[in-house]
Amino acid sequence: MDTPVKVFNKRSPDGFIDFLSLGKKLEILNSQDKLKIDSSINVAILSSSSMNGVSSVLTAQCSSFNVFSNIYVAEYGQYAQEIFNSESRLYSFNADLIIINIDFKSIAEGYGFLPYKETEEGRKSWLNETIVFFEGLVSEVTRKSSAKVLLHNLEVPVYSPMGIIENKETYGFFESVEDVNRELRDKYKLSNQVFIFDFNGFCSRIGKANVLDYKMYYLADIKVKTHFIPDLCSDYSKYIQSLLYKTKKCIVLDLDNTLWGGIVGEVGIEGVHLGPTPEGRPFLEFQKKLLALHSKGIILAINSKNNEDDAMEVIKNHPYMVLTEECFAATRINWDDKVSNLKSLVEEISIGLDSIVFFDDDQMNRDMVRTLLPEVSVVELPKDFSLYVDTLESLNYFEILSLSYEDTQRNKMYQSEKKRKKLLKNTQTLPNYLRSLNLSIYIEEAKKTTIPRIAQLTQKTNQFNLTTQRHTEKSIQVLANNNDFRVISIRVTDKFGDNGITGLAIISIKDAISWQIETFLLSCRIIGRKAEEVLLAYLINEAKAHNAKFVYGYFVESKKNSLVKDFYSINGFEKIDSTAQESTWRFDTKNDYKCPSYIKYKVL
Amino acid sequence: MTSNNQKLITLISSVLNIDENSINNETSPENTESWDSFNALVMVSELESQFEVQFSIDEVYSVLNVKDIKNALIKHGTIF
Repeated sequence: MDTPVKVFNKRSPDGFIDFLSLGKKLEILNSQDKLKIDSSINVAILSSSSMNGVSSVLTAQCSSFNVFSNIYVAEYGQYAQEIFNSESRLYSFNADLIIINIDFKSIAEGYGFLPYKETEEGRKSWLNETIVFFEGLVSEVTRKSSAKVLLHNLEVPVYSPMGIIENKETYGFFESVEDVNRELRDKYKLSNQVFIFDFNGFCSRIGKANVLDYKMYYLADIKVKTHFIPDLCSDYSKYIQSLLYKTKKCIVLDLDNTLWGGIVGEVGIEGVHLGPTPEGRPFLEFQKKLLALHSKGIILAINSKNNEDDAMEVIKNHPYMVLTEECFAATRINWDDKVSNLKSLVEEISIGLDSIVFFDDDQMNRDMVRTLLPEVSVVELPKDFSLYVDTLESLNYFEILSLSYEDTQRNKMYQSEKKRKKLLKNTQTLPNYLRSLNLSIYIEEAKKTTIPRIAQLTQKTNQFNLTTQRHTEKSIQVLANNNDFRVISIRVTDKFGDNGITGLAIISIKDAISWQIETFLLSCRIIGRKAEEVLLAYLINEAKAHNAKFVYGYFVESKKNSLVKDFYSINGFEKIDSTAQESTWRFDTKNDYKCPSYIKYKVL
Repeated sequence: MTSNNQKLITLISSVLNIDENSINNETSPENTESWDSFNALVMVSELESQFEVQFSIDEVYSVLNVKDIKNALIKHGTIF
C-alpha cells in the first residue's frame, strides 16, 4: 500500500477538491487500519460557523509530513456547550490540540452592524465584554484539558458606516476590534498552552474582500470560502508539525543560480549576479532571508557541483555575499552526485535526512533527490528567481512553538563540533581526546522547563534509542508527576560549548526490587563521548542506593537503532529473554559498574 | 461544444468522486450518495470559478440534477 507521503509525491494536490478527496481516502484507509504512518494527533475544532471540509483537507495536508490527524469537529455554534460541559465529546476525545474559531460576525451580531448606535463608552464596554467572554472560554478549557489551545483572533472589519472618517473617532469601531486582538495577544504571550491564531492576518493575506463568499455564507454559514480552506489548514498544520516536532532543522543549498545568479565556473566572481541590481537583488534578498532563519537556529549547508576554489572565492570575497563561511555547518563543493553528498552531509552534521530541506535550481538534481532520498523535503524552486524569496516565505517547515535553548545555540554547537573534529584529528587516542575535551555532565530529574526538550528528544532520536518510545510533553509531564517513574536527563558540556540536554532515561521503579529502564537514548550530537556510560552508572548507583536488586534494560529493534543492539551486553548486562525484535537484559546490582573517571558529573 | 460538456463532467466527477462514465443528465442527489448538501455547495463554487459565472441563490436552489446545471450555465452564456 502507498504511504501518504508517496501519494503526495506522485502529484501534490493543489486545489480544495484534490485535498478533500485525498483526505477522505486517508480517513477511509485509517478506519480500515491500513494506514502506515509515523504518528497521529487528535485535533478538536470548535467553531461558530461551518467548518465543512476543514477536517479532510487538514488530514490530507498532515499526511505530507507523515502524520495522521484524527479530527473532531463539534457541531458549529456549540462551542460553549462543548467547553462548559465536562461530559462533552471535546473532553472524552482527548485532544492534543483544540482549535477555537469564533468569528467576529457571530459574536457581534448587533455591534458589527450598528457600532455607532453605541457611545464611545459603549464601544469600550463591548471590548471589555468580549475579552471577558474569550477569557472565560479559554480558562475553562485549559482547566479541563491539557491540550494546546489555538484561539482565533477576530477579523478586523474593513467597512465602517463612518466611512473615511472612521479613524477620526475618539474611540472608533475598528479600534475596538483591534484592541480585542491586542489584548488577547498580550494576555497569552507567556502561555505555553494557549496560542493565538492570527485569523485577522490570515484574512489580510488572502484578501478580506475575497475570504468571505456572501452566497456561501447565506446558504450555509461558511465564512471562509472553500477555495481558501487549504490555506487555512496549512496555517493550522504549522502548529501540528511543531507539536509533533516535524520541524525541519537544516537547509541544504546549491550555489550557482541558487545563492547567486550565473555559473561562477564560467563567469568568475565578477560575473555572478549578487547585489543591488535587478538581476542581483533577488539573490541578495534570498540570502538575507536565509540568514534570518539561520539566526533563529536553522542549520545551513552547501551541496554544489563546482570547483571548490571558484565557489569559495565568491563566498569569501564577494562584496555582497550575505552568508559567510561561518554560516555553513558543512559544505560539499565537488563533482560528486548530490545524493551521495547529502548522505555524507547528514552524517557530518548528525541529523536525519527527514530534517533536511533541499534547494536546487536544477530540476534533474531535484528529481534525483526526491526519488532516491524521499525523506528529504525538496523545494520546487521556480524558474523565475525573482520568486525565490516568496517561495522561501511560503514554506511551513521551520515553525516551532517555543524556541528552546538548544535551538538558539544550535549553530554555535555546530561550529564547536568542527573544532572538536579538528582536535580529534590531532590527538592520538579516543580516551586522550575525551580527556582533553573536559566533558562535564549534569544529571537532572525532569522539570517544567526541561520537559519540552525531553519530549522533543523522544520524538526525534532514532539511532541511539533503545526502545524508541515516543512521548509528548503531556505524557512526560504525567510520568514526571508519577512516583512510580523517574525521568532523568543529562546535559553535556565541554570546553567548546554547551550541547544542552542530549540524553535521557525513563525508569519504572514501581517494583522496588527490579528497576526497569523503559527509555534510554542519546542525541546523535554527543554519540561517542561516553556520556551514556555516565548516565547508566548513575542509574545503577541510584538503584543500589534504593536497595533495588536488579536493573532491567530492554532493546526493541527499529529500522534505525542497530547501533545500540549490543549496548546492554557491552555494559555488563545479562540477556535473560529475547525474541526476533526484542530482548530483555538484567544487571545485578551486586556487581560494580565502572564509567570513565575523566568525565566529571554533577547531580542537579 | 463538447469541450464545455467534458469540462462539466470532469468537474462533477472530481467533486463527487464518481466515475465520469456514470454521469448523465439525470444524475442527481437522489441517485448519487456523495451529492450531499456540502458537495453541492463545493460544486457551485467550482462551477463559478471554472466557468467564470455567478449564480444567484435562487439558481442554486433550482438545480435538481445535471441537466439543471447545464441549463443554468446556458442561461449565463456557456455554450454546450
